[in-house]
Amino acid sequence: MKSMSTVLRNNNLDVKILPLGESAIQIEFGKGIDPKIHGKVKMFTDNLDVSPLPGMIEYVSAFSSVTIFYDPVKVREMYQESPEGKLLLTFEFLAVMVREKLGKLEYDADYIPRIVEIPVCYGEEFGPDLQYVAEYNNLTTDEVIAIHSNGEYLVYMIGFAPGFPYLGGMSESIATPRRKSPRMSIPAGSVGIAGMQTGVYPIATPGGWQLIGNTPVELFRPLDNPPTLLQSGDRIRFYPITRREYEEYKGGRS
Amino acid sequence: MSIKVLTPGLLTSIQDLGRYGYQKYGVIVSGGMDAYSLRIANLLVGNEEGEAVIEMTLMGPSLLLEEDVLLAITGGDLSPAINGQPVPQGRPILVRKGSVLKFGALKSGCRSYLAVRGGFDIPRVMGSKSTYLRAGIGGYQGRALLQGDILPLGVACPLPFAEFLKKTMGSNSFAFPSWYVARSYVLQKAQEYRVRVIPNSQFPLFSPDSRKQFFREPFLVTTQSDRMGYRLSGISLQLTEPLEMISEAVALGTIQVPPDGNPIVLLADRQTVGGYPKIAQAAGVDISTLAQIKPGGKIRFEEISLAEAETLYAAREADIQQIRVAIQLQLAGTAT
Amino acid sequence: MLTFDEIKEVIRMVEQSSIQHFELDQENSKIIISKAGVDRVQTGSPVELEAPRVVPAAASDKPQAVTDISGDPPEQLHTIVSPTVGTFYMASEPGADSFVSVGEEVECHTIVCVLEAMKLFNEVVAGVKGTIVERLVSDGDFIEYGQPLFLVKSES
Repeated sequence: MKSMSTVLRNNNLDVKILPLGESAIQIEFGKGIDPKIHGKVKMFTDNLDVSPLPGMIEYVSAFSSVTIFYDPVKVREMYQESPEGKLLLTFEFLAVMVREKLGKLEYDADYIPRIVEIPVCYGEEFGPDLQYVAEYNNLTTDEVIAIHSNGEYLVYMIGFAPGFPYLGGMSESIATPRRKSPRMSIPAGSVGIAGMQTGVYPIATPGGWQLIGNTPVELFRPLDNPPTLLQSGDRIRFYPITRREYEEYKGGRS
Repeated sequence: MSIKVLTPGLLTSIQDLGRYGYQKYGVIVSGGMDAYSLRIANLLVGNEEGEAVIEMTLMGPSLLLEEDVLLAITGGDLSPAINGQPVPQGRPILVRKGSVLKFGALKSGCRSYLAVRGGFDIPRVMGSKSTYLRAGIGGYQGRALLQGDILPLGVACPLPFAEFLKKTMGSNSFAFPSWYVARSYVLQKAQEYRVRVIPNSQFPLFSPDSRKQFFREPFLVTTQSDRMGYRLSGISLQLTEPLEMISEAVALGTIQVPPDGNPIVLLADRQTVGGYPKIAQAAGVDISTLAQIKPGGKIRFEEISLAEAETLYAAREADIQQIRVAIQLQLAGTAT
Repeated sequence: MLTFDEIKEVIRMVEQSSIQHFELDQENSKIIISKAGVDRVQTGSPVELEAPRVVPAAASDKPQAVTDISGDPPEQLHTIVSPTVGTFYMASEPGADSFVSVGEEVECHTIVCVLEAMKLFNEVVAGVKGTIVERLVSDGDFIEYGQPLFLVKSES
């Protein structure tokens, strides 16, 4: 395992740095789904936004890791001019730079996350599985709505589809397994539950989530910058709206 | 200045080198599957190497050229012909207005690329002209090409070389030079395609048998393979013990293994994140080879180190730069 | 704008090629490379490297890269010489059939081989109607400008 000897550790943050092919480098801040680990992820990506690594094309942040995609030719050009010369792999050169960056990171205690409120019309044809979720958890549908809209959720990452948030923080009392037979198409804006997770579908896609409602808000906005309503690190709240409010919202947009 | 789609072919779409900078928002990269062929096609007509081109798959389209067009075809061989006469790949071809460019039987590879001088005049979405099929954005109206589509061409300064070709065209409907770029990087004649891979950090978590057989046994590219990824079948790859995985980023060429043990090689339309264990990562230089393997083809993985992958990558880029300069020399040198 | 390295590369490649005069006009820079003092008569080869073929190639194509090295081979034998420097290949790509083999009849416009230079492949045509008598170089050989490639017995 030649390539595996290149695992580097940062003692302060207990960070693992790994290659993902010759054009990407992955930084692991820990294991598992944990707001504390994610805080480090967010701190690092906020820093990358301000001062990107040389040769960096973009990054993807996940629950507990950040992966940086880079142009190996650009990075190589840069380090061949450096005193380290040709001894290092391009990956190792970047890993050293990542470690330096991590060493200088300072935790900002005053950091206030963005809070995004998302209106949801629960039930009706928007939430064909709301009744099932209630029955499964021995609750009324109103209780499910109250629990779902009282929570504050952390956006751990965006993925799966453009603007789709992986959310943490849902109450166990409304957790419901996925549908046995997935739907061929779930409409955009659908709010659903799958196991311990809740989420919103930005675009129509097949899926097995239990649908409890729909939001008139567009989560994916390809012509805007940034193109999504939500970003990693945001906190979100859902609030119930009536069908009429839903239609007004939709009408007002077009 | 436009090209009209007479018949669309199987899956024909506008692609450039991809949409970068938006993966953190869940927006996939897209772009040409065989980036090498895409770049060469553009260079052959004097475009920037990342200009939008037409990517066609297995069965190509029929196109009416409504203007004189300087074009180039690269990648898999779909038997291109102009007004019924076969034309070669890997060269700039000047084609007379009113001609029909028709792609026919697949002779080799899987995907072919058509670049036109000046590229396609379609809007960039998030910095790219690539078609993002599932989200319905980019490319030509966010979808694969259909019969009757009219693709507007970009404006570019006429190349002296094209003027020169025109003089020699006489009464024929097209003309091309005696030089060309070979397809050596993308097409292999062997029964099995060799794809070099770097073991992933999760490689040691697979059973000793799986680790050995991964490099020993061939894998079949199944018919469930598409632009998102190639689903392979062969020996079933197993972890030594179950692994608690949470989603993390994947890359072009990541080979992940779902619980059924059949590996998936992630390609241009891959999702930004994945939750399956990763056994290996295909070397960047072999992605174009992968893109030219059609369903039913066989792959054999060969282990290389990260250092080797880096060296291969740098060498390939140097080759492309050399080709770029050589073509530029040809396109400019005939002016006198 | 070409970088300094790219300009060096261009100069090197023009030097190695049969191109006599080269001009590149880009944005706000212009490069002119002219080979002075090259004795064009030396090889006696009418070099037309850049001459495009019109397809379908007419039989009236000008002979490319053909010369008579008078006195050397018997009179009815023509020598196909290299129009450029490069690596000699008998087929268009590895594993493909050879363009021509000894004993085969060729037309003026028949492609007899390709020469790879700077990653581009240049087709060489027979330039004469006749029969291939001998191949004078091997697959993969590096060929100099003007080097004899094939002997062709011409029909007269």
